[in-house]
Amino acid sequence: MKIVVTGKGGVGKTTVSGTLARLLALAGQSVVAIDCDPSPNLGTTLGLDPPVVEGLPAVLNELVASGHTHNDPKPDPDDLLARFGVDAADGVRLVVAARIERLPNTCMCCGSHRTTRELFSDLAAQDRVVLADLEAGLNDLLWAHPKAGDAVVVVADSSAKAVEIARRAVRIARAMGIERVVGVANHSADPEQAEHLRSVLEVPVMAIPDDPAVAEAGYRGLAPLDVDPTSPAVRAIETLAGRLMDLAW
Amino acid sequence: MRVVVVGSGGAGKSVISGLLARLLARSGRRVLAVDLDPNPGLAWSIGVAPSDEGLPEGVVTAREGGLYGWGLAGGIDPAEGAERFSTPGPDGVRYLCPGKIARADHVVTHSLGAVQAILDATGPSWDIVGDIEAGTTCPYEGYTRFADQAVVVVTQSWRSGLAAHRLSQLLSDIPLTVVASQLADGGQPGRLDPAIRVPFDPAVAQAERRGEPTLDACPDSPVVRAVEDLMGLLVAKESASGQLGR
Repeated sequence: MKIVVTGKGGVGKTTVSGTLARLLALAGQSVVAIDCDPSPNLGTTLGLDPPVVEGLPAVLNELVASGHTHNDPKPDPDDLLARFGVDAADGVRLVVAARIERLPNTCMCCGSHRTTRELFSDLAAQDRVVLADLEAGLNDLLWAHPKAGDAVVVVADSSAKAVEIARRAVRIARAMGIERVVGVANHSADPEQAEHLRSVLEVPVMAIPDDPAVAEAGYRGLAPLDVDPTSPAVRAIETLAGRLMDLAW
Repeated sequence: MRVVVVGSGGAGKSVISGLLARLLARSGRRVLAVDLDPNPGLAWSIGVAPSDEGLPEGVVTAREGGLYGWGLAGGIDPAEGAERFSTPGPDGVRYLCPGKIARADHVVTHSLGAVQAILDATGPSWDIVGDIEAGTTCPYEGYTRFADQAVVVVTQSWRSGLAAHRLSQLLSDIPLTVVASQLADGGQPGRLDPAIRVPFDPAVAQAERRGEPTLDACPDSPVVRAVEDLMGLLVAKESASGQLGR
């Protein structure tokens, strides 16, 4: 099974992605998590130490450094996973697509998006979960290009901007032929927020409550699961995990 | 001044850009607010009607050396573009946008190249305030090249501090002003020392929920006062760099 997590910046995609990946792994799935943010930080919600996360190898950077160009044969995705992936908490295998933090001295045109697409589309998911935590906004959803049969998790908070971006993400996912689309009303303070999102998106919507444990984890660069595994937000993501694995859904 | 506002997603780039553009306009300046994020946002923060359309057909053409290989069609004076292709907003702000991603087949990169050509040709009679997509990709790909100053917006979260640190490295060739955003009482952002501290204001969060510009929904908010301070700082940096003969 393949899952992409998308939405406006700052709505909690990475918190949902990392926690979801770990809960799926704890439920017995083999899980590969792809960090598609060009300022990668998914590792923190997967339980890695912040200084480690900051220096994790990234596929595109490593390939460029080794002299790989667009003209060379495409590397085997599982080989990339073995060479550049890292083991995170609960058995999740994390792979970082690209890290953009300095001006380039080599051509990296379209690199981060292209790497996202190739990793997400080429990693086989017959007997495992491949979960992509996308870059903020709609652009990376176009690039990742999930297929019919994949699941798209669209995260929004209560802001009008986040809801509008979520609405567009659902429309784009539908145009890609994807049926399994679920909305997440994150940082939810009242039931109306999820109800509103449901009416706008016209897909099943789950609420993740506003949760001090998530805020605390965010300040410190830690995983909500490690700050408080019984917190309301973690519980809600557990329900989301169950829903995603429910093949009848 | 030519300022670009950068930062992690959800840090408050659009709110701060929109406020800054309108406050500059109220102070008598001619302001072009450029919305370079392909996701909707800045129009609501300024208070102009959002549109998904980029520049009109026939205005954009393939051009070597332009961003992504695109630029303005021949016969169109890029120096007139700021006025001609922008729409009027409150307080006299002009709003320029290369378009938004609305559909799966939508390409806004072509129009982006033309908007960059306009920005390159827009003279000092204009102040430019640019809002870009979250994260590090856009500065890397050249969206920020019009700017001679950057505002780095950072929250208290570790990931926002990391993004701000990476953005500061990417933009190290122009003066940076660090703005701490959505600060809780006594809150401190990590890593970078902010010149301006913008407190969290529930009234602004409510306005964001309704999609209303901060300046109209909560004109007395401490957020507005902090962005006034930011404006003063940016103006001072502009005149300082002018005296150095930039």
